[in-house]
Amino acid sequence: MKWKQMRIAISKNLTERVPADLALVILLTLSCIPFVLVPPLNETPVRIILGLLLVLFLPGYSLIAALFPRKDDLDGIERIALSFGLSIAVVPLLGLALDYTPFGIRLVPVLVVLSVFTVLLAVIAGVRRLGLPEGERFVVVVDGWGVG
Amino acid sequence: MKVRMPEIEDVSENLDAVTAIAGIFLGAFVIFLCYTINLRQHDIGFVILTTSLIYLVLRNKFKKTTFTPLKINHRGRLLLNIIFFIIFSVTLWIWYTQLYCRPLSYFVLISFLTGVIAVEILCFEEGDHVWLILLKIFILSANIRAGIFYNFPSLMGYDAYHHAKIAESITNTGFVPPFELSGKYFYYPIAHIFISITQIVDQIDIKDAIFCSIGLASILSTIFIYCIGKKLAGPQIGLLAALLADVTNSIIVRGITNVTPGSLVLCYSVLVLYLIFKEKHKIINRSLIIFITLLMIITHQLSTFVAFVSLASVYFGKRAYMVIYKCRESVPISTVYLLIFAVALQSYWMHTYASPGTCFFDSVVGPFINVLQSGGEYGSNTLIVGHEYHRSLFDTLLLHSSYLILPFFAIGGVLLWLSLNDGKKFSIATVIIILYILVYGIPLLGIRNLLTSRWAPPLSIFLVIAASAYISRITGLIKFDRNKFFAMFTIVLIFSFLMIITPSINKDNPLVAKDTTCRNQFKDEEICAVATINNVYRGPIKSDSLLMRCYLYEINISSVQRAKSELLIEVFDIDYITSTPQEESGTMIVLRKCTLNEPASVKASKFYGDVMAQLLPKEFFDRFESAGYDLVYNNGGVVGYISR
Repeated sequence: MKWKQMRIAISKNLTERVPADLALVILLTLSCIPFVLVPPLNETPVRIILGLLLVLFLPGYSLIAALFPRKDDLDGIERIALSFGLSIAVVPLLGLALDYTPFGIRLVPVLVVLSVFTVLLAVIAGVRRLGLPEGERFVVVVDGWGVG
Repeated sequence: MKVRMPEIEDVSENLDAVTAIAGIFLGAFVIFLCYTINLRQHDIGFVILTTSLIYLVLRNKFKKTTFTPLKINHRGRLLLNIIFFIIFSVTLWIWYTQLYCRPLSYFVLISFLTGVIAVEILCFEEGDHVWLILLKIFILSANIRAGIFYNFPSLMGYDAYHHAKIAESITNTGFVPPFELSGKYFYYPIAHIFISITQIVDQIDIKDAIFCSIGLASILSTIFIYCIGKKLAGPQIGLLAALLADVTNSIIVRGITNVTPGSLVLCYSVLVLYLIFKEKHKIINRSLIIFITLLMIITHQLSTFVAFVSLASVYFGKRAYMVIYKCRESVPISTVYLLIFAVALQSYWMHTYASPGTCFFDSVVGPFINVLQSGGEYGSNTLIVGHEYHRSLFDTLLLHSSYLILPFFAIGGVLLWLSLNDGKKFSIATVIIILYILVYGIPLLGIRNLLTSRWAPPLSIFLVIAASAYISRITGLIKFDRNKFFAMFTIVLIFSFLMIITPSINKDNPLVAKDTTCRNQFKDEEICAVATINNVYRGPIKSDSLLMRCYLYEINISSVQRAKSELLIEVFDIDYITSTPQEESGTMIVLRKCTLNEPASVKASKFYGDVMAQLLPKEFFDRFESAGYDLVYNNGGVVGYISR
């Protein structure tokens, strides 16, 4: 009984404290790993969708979230635009860095580097947001088609 | 009686009128030069003259008009959405059911869809869902680009093969290939690594990887054009600019039909431009600007130079605005930033080699100085002036309109923005004036090695922003709402149609200039022919240039020069087609039967790039039916003969 209460308390605390958008970013990034590496999952179209997100969006989103933790820093579209823009800037640079290592630009090193970069920055973004007063933090509000 | 001399305040208040009058004189002067020194630029002269004149006549009305969104009820909005998605599905169906071609109906429906989105933008109000409109712009853009890119099984473009080989080599080996294959991209092949990572993570072939990386980046980066337009003149102008950018032919060329690392630089440069216009968070902004600028420099040398010229023009516009309007509020672009950019660019050019022994800086500046020193001698004796083709009046009208419609609206936008006493708009107007003069002026001086034709995509980004402001003012002049709807729909439909039918983005199945447009993608039968012949035959080959490039695609040959030297391929020239030369015994002649009805690119002289498009005559084909040749290959579309 005590264990169940503790679990509920932790889960309530986590949902209140961990921003939903960053949790989703981490979830998508981590779910990319089995869908890219594990057969037969890596033969499904989900791999392409998650893979494209990992290359074109998620690293930039984490970076932008870490750089701009306040809600009035950027509007929804600017945040999305910069996420995509910084992803296409950061991803090739991470690849270039891998070229100078013995691992090279291969599947596992690329996947590890992109995932670590994205998750790490998402965690930093979460910490930065938690350091702000609640009213100033960026939160995703999905209202019909509007994201803000 | 005292005559008051005009002061700077008079000029600043009437700068648009002064520029419009200058435009009228410039246009008249260009037309005059066409008749006196055969400049052959009647049409651009005419456009500058008429658009300046129209602006001057309607100047006061333009200044008073503001862009007010039109009212549309929920049912009307729903209807527009339903129409959009139904017609969108029809275009997909038309494209999917045709082999190697897209019919006229496809282009008409795509233009219609662009018009529908424009009408929706006309009704856009603060608080409306901008996402839905942006989403429609992106899927329409993806439809156009995928329609072009996936119409044939092969890659498309000329440089794209070389870049695809580098990216594939990275995918296969895990490392950047040596200088012999990568050339000047050996140091930091950012675009190739981006393509390769997409290919590795998604496990797709190189063609899909190019589309999913550079192609999607090109589509999605128009969101920055929306953001810039929104910052400058509101969300409606931003949306319209994004829509026009996504159908503009020069941006489509750079984004999908000839993918190079310059395509990625275009995305980065729009991002930098947006960050410059974004004023909040100066420290983070400046850091990001420097970061992206350095990335741009190492991605592609020449494209980055164009980005530098654009940003220097923004800076010049800022300075000019501050002098003319005696105002300190303008675009936040600093001298220090431009200096960092210039020094970093020059350093990179000096420390990277274009060929063994010659750094990139020398390889660009050297020929440029030679051209300047040789002057008129260069122009008169060795300049290839191209070949004159006789086209129908309708074709000529469509072709010329396709590259004049954007300047027509953009010049109006420039004049409008010069009048508004707004530093940012003034800077955009200045960039357009400077870049346009450079893009048109440099080739007219006979200087070709700066490749100013490749400056068109960055210029187009500024043009669409100004053009959308002008189009919105034009619709603002119209009295009744129904007429406004009709005007916006018609303008954007015509704009879109003229842009998407141009041969530059439809080399595979052109609607206009069919007789002079050479295909640059390959059919399955052509790829099979090259593969088979390469497997069974070693010896000299003669073919048209398309088949020669097919070797680059099908076989692991990195450049045209290597194909010529290693595979002994020779391309048909005009003498070979028209005369009956002595054939070396054992030479394979490969012919595409479709070249009887579809033009092929034929070498016209020994000069590099001097080619002309023409149908191969029936007599030329008949020559190989004679006793001197044996038919050794025939797959229905491609035939191969060996000379005895």
